[in-house]
Amino acid sequence: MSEDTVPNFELGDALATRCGNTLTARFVPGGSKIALSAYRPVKWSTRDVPSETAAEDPVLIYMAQEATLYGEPLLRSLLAETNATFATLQTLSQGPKGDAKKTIEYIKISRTYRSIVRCCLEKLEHAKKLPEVQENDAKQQQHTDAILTFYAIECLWHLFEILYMQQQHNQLIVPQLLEWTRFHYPNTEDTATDLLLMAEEASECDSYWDTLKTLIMLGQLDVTRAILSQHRKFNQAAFQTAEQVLKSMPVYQDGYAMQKFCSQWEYWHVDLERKLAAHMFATEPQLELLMQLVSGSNEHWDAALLKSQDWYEFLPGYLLFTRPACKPFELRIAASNWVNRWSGLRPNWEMTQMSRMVLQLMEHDVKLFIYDMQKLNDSHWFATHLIDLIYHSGQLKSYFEQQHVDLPALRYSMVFEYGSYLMTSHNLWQLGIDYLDCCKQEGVAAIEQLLPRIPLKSERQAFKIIAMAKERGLVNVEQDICKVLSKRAYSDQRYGSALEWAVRSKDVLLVTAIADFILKHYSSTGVILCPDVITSIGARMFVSPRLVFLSKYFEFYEFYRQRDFLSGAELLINLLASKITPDYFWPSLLIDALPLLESEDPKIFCKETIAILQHLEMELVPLIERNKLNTAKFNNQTSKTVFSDYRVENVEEILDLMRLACARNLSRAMIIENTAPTT
Amino acid sequence: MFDVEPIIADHKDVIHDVVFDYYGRRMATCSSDQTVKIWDEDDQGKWSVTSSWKAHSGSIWRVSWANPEFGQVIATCSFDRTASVWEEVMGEKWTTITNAPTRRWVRRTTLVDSRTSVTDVEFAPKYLGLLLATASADGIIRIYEAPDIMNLSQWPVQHEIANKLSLSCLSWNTSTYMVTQLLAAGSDESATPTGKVFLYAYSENARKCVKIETVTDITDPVTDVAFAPNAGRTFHMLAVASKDLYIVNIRGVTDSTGAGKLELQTLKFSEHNCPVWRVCWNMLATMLISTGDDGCVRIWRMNYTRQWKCAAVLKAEGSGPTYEPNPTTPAALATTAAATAKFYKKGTIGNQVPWH
Repeated sequence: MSEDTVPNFELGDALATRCGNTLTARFVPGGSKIALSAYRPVKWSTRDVPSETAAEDPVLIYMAQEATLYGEPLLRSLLAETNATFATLQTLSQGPKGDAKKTIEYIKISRTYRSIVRCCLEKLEHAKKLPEVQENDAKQQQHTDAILTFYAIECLWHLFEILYMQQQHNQLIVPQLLEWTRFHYPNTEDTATDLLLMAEEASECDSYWDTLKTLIMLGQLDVTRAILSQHRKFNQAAFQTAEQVLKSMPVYQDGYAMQKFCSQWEYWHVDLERKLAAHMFATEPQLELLMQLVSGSNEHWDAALLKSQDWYEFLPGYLLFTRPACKPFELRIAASNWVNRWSGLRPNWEMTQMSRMVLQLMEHDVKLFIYDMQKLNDSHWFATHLIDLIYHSGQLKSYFEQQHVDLPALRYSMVFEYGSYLMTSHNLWQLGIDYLDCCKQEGVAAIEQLLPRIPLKSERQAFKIIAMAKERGLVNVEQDICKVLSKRAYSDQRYGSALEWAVRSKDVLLVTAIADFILKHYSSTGVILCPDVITSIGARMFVSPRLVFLSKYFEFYEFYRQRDFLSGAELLINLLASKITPDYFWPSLLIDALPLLESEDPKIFCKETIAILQHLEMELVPLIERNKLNTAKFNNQTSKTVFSDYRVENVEEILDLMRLACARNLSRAMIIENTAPTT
Repeated sequence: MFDVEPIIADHKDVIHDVVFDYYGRRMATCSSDQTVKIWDEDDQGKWSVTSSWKAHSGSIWRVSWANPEFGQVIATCSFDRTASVWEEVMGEKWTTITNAPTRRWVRRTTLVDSRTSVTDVEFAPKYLGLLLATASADGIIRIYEAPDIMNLSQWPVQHEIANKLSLSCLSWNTSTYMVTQLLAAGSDESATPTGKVFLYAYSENARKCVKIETVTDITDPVTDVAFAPNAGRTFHMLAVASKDLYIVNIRGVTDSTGAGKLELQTLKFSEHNCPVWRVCWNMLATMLISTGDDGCVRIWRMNYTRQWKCAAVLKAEGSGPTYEPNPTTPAALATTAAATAKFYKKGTIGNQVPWH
């Protein structure tokens, strides 16, 4: 690619210009934005001093974003509808290829796309007239841009459909091209309708003959005849002859022999020229002019062409009167001749992109057309959907092979790009995901990259994203999102939510960390942070041993609160023996046993009391020793706070209290256990 | 066509790094004025500073965001020979207007191991846990780890890799395909004609991070390296800013003895015609930005045949956004069918009147 074809964009930043013209840029994740700022190359070996120009120019960051049409809700619905059609097309193409019936199906798809665009254009036109849009310049501009772009898209797609999608056995295209121009130049038809309604008075109307001329050039003979027949002088010979000429023009019908049609047409044409030569219309100069046009007289067409809006407007009409049996391959020559002739009449004419693209289609230059198609400002909506359709219908397969264009690769890259564009656009991600689904492993990988980057604005949205990830078996994405939400809730001090999301993420480290936090919080304050969440965890507690401990401890806590001391004592003994007690929690757990041991009416049996005593000596004592050592070694660390309980000032107190309580309970329990029940 | 919105950064000197968080909704900037600023984007797309503080006693080179699952955490590195880790916490004060808690950034640790300027800092991909790598001018890469993700004050050094050349930049590979814990670093040393880009990975045998490869094709000073995010590719891409722009394709291959090794392929892009300072990938690695000394930012796109082509040029000079597209010539077609710039001015469709 040569340098001059790369688009240039000038920012004009004073600071950047000052420091050696250097500008740097970064992609902003989660969208198509780029952040630009002035850059000053410095090396680590240069002296670190403020730059000479510091504080002279403002330091700016530029957020550059590609202009997009899809801010407008009406266009969003267009995207949603085309997404559905795209999906239909993908399922359709899964069957066997090359079926004749399928060609019809593909044309149907093409028409569906077009009708979506037309429908949207209608809504846009309507919306543009609303007062809130009229008053807002930016919005109005937005609507105008969208209408302009999608109008062009529809027009080009229609032409493409006529020239490349249908397989007519006779390959006659003139009637369809006439239909195409009729549709895209509707003004004349509107005036014609007015004239028809005026009946006889129409012939006095100023625009009468001009309208008829345009109608003829658009090849609309039936309407022309209807209007002519209302003329006051219709009974005169000239009009009658004209009517007869127009009526008798041979029209090709299916099943007709081409040869026969051509000779009939030739005969009709010669007959018309003979009539013109014989001045049969001379009494009515305007009518004669019409007939000259019908005969295809170059001189008269050239004069009339000066009024046309674009080069292709009257080409189909001209073909109707000069080469009615024109085939697609002949159109190529006809079109290039026509455009030369048209531009010859307008020395200063510059071809617009739209005109060029129409010419490319007519000249069978699809490759260039595809290239230009990507320059429209529709974020590749048109290019993606049309190329996808071309790929599936297989009509142009050999053409692309000849041109050395790898159509499957092109289609793949378009769908991938378009899908990732939508996925990174605000509110459009759900549409984009369907396109990426068609892109095999790379599509899945892209979804995996982009899905977790969608800002999690609400829990509802998070659930939606998680559901999408689940559908595609992207376990990591679900976990990532849960972890982020857990951490976010944790820093917002919403600990219940933090625990809930952590459990969902199934991340052992995170669950353990949060359970630790809750346990530590309890041992320093005596408050359980999120009782409802802990109650509801149930079988999910097995994610992490720490969570098991938390749940079980909470169960004990509840028993105790409800004064169900026997169940509580049993659970506590189990907990002590479970070997999942975190070190820092031993003091709290043992203190919890105190009241049960000190109860007048023993709650803990002999054997269990001995077990408690054993834990005290085997677990807590060594822990205290170790802690002392550590504290001595790293006196900067505050391990004291870690190893304590809100109920005692000094951990070592527990030892004495516990030993005493155990001894007392042991004595009481022994007496009761060894006393035979009185019957 | 771009819609450009300038934001007044309010830094007193040139910005050295602009880095976005995982979602692209927060931005951290650092500057020669020794401050760091944190920006937030609101729902209307407006950016505003929510925190600004003096973070170092020298120019701040780089900022890095940790993955959001570790909370709101950034790391900075500076000319003052240190790197710091900062975390956003809820303040005790509650603002009266919004009734929301105030947030502020607190320094969790200062990493003082380097005796020279710390030139780059980057958090590791999250599959490795909360890890941080720093590169410094004395040629040492240090990898720190926070063992307790709820308490970021402890950052013991996990690995220390010494190099002969001073280092200017580093980049982690986020993908685990074929090689795990792959890290690249570049040197801006200009005296020796040796390779300037090094690759490191964790070695099971040595039980530490070791240098596994040197990109010998690049011998000019290197100022930036960046691994591309991997969206389903079977190889890794490393962009290198040096005398020219390079893309190094790294493939993991298994040789006949069953031992894994790396195969490198270096592509050179000379369009800047002068040194390249910075490189940056987009999320799916379909686009690349390079910053050159020619005053141009170039945007590169991969076309449908997987070739990298320059798709747009952004210039520092000029009078502002006044760009008009050049008419395309058919000659350009062959190479650019799909690599067409997305950055065209709104379509130059003719003066069509819709039919309504």
